[in-house]
Amino acid sequence: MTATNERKLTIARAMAEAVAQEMRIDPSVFVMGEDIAALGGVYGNTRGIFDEFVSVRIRDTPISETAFIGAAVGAAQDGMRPVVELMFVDFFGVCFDAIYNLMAKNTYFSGGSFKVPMVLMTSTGGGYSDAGQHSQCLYGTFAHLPGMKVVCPSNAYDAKGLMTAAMRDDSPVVYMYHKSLQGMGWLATEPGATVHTPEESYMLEIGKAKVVREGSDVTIVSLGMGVHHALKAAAQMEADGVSAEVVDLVSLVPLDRDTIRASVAKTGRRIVVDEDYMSYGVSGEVIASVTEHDISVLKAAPKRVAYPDVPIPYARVMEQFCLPNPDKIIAAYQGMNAA
Amino acid sequence: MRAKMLADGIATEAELDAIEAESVARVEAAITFARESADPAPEDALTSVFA
Repeated sequence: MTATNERKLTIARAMAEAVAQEMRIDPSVFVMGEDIAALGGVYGNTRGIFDEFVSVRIRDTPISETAFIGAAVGAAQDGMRPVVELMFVDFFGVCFDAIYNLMAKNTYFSGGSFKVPMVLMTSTGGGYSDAGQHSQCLYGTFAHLPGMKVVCPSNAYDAKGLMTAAMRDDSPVVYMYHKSLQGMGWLATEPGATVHTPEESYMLEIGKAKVVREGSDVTIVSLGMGVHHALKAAAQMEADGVSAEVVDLVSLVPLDRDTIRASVAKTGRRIVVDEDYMSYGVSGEVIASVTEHDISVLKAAPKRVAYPDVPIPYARVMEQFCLPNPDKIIAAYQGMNAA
Repeated sequence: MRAKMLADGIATEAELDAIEAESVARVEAAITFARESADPAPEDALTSVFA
């Protein structure tokens, strides 16, 4: 049943609404990227707002990521609040100097004299046979490097609040949205991401995780698309009498270690689900945040359900073999208790 | 491109037609091969990362 006051939005519409509302009250906000203006973004995140702001404040760019992300850094240091889009996170390879040596470091290099208040939106994730240069998550790559806040919404409510918070933040924020959660008709979409989203502007605190399902036997920690896999696994586990708690990280930087620790202290077991590569990434960091703090809370060795350390294959059967899914989470829990 | 090559005497109509026909045949053969081949073994996704 849908409540009469419910207002379900896709993540794409929630992002576009947040950007439009902020542009109405803050003249320093503007948007740049490839296909971001007239088309409304390949993933719909600026759809329907172009006519209001026309080409002055929403600008299509050439395929020139180094140039337009570099320009955004300059504009941000000069008092603007740019929102720029790197269409696929995989494309970071051509513009990481602008992102990492300029955007992320200029505040530190200037001893705090310069602020770089910009948002870098970028799409993540695979599952639809777009192969190795269009399907990665690269959460760990961005979260590893100091100087950038990193957020990753799993639903439209969080997406809108995070976008507004990101635009108002005085630090650069990398806003990583998963393609399979956007609600685009041409792309398979997780229905759980389309949730009630208030019309009025609001902020979600960057750096705060959420317990999205309470449980007592095991904590499943994830982000983005993985949260939906975790919730589905938890629902199946409940039928087998296992009570799983699900923690949605929401933000990678800052990482809410307190919420992770509190949940694992309660359940004693932990599985981390990450669609990014297994090694040197989010899953290891989440595990370390508990084990280096208090190993005595653990009743079992932690498990990871993450992408294996191979490039994303094009063949559908191969990609699906590699991706996290609810069955792999349940198997991880069973393996944990068999050990 | 075709008109310039003909004007400059680099190739004849017949030679260009032959190149075009061969190219189309190779692409069509590749498409047919791909469509008729079985899916790869899923676990082969974990191979060939290094030489």
